[in-house]
Amino acid sequence: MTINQLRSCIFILTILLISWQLGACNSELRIIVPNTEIVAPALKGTSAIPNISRKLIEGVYAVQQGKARFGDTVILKHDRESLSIFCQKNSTYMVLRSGMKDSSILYAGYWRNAQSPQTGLCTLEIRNKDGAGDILQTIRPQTLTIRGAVGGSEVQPNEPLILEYVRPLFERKRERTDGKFWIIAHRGGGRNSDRLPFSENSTELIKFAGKLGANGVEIDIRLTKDGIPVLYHDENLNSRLVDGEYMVGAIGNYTFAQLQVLCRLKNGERIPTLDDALRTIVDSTNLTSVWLDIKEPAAIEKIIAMQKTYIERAQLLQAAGKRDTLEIFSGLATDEIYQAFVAHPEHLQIPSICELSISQTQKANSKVFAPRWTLGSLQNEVNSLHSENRRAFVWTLDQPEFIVQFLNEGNYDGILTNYPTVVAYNYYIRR
Amino acid sequence: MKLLLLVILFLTPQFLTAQDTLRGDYRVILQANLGLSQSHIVRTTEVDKAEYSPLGFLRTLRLIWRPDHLLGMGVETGILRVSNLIVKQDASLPTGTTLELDAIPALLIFSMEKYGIEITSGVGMYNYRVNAALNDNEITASTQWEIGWMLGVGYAYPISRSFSIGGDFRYYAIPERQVSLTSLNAKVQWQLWY
Repeated sequence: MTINQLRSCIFILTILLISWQLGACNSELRIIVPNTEIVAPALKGTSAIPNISRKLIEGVYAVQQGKARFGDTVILKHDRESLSIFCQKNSTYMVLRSGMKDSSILYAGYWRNAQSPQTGLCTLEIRNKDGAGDILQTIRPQTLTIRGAVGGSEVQPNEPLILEYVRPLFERKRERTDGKFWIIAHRGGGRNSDRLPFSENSTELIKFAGKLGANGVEIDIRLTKDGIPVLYHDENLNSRLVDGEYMVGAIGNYTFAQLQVLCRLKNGERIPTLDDALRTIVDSTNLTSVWLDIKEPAAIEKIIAMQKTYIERAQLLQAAGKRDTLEIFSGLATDEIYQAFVAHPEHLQIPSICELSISQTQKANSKVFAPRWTLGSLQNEVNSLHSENRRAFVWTLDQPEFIVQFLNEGNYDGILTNYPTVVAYNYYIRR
Repeated sequence: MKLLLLVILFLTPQFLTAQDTLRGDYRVILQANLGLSQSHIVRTTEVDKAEYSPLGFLRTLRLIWRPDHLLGMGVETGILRVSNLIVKQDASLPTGTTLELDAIPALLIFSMEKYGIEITSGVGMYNYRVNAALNDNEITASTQWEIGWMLGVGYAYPISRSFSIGGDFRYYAIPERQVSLTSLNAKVQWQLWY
């Protein structure tokens, strides 16, 4: 074989290896949740914990055992029947189902690192003598200790974890917003790349957002070919967001019926309509704000009609004591969307979030101004908006160090984030 | 590890000294291929009752420059049928809805030929396209470019100084779509320049 022939062979081999590399680039973004059936027997025979007792358990806890995995302090917060624990170390959180039995309070579920695939199982218990007796009688106990175990994802947890109640959760004292701070989960709870239990922009993830510490969600709205507003982020159907061999090109090229049959979100859910999503939020969550990220100006008319319908529905449920207040905002992210919104005759009465400028926020009578985080804390501008009875949310803050910085130095009323668990920890831990 | 191997392979030829620097003649070859392909695809579409076919015809053209050494290079295009589906009964889709999935390769190919045996690899883009025809004549045509590659091995028998006939086996891959095709083709080869 001549040198030239050898060169040719090596070149072809190189091309083959590049091809092999290309083939390997299609990484699977499947969900990561351990098999919670392993710890489910811990809750066998339990009944639901009364809401008032659940509130007594919420708070800041010191980690007595388990610091290596979870850090020195954790936050405990309920979302309906679930308990979420947000940890200091490695952006770790836990999602646990709860129950009570024989004067004990029991939890079983899993822990997960928000920014890596590390996960495992967890069981916790508040024994009668550790404070459960008082809590179930709706008395705040002198001391409250939670004992349990954590471990890997396929075996019964056996590493001890002991948490001791320190103080209640931080609450902002501000009349204008009833002390409320908005932790808004991006894309209904987070991105597919973070391998959450459900696909981004799905109704299932929206229902889960509260367990991640969010009290609001941002969802992306596009129109199908037959004009139905659906939740979808990208302009094109792609393997990052959907499975479906016949799904090629823009989502707007397909009718809703075609999408329902031919397309599944990454975890198998169907692409939801805006109608489905808002009904889910109003009827099945405790979320208090919805940020509709409108991707197409043509969708404005239909979105505003739905916004009005579901604001009324939420108000009726609130009046009946069945849910908290709910705000639904049209998001004005581009000049095209803004122009289409202010052309609507009722735009001054329709709640909106303006991402563009303060003058456009005022002109559209937007309740919220939402600057990109890279613009900094904008202290003066935010204070000026507060004096006009408007609020300011910052987007999209994901890095823990910046989240802490904005919470400490900024005067924002809310943070849009892909990691609501991290914002929740750093917000509720404050004094 | 794969990356290291790639770097080593890429750099190795740089350290080899060519035996001579004078270039000889070259040839330009046009190749037409017609074949049958079978797609290998992760099926996620759920239709109550449908006719589904992963089989299709493959039609491609190649233009290859063959210098005086072993390695030639060129371009390949054509049309590859990935699959088609005809809805016979479904709760959401009208009966008669037809979905056709095609890919048009635009590949840079590298080819080695010796004693009529040809080994080819290619990288480039595929214009991935779907045609959805509902029975009320509402047609959705949508396309998207995707990165992909191919491998092939074949044989060509010369029937004259200019023409050869033969056949080959090919493997096309579009990783982003989790789609691959295997095909058996007949080919006609014409030396345009020699």
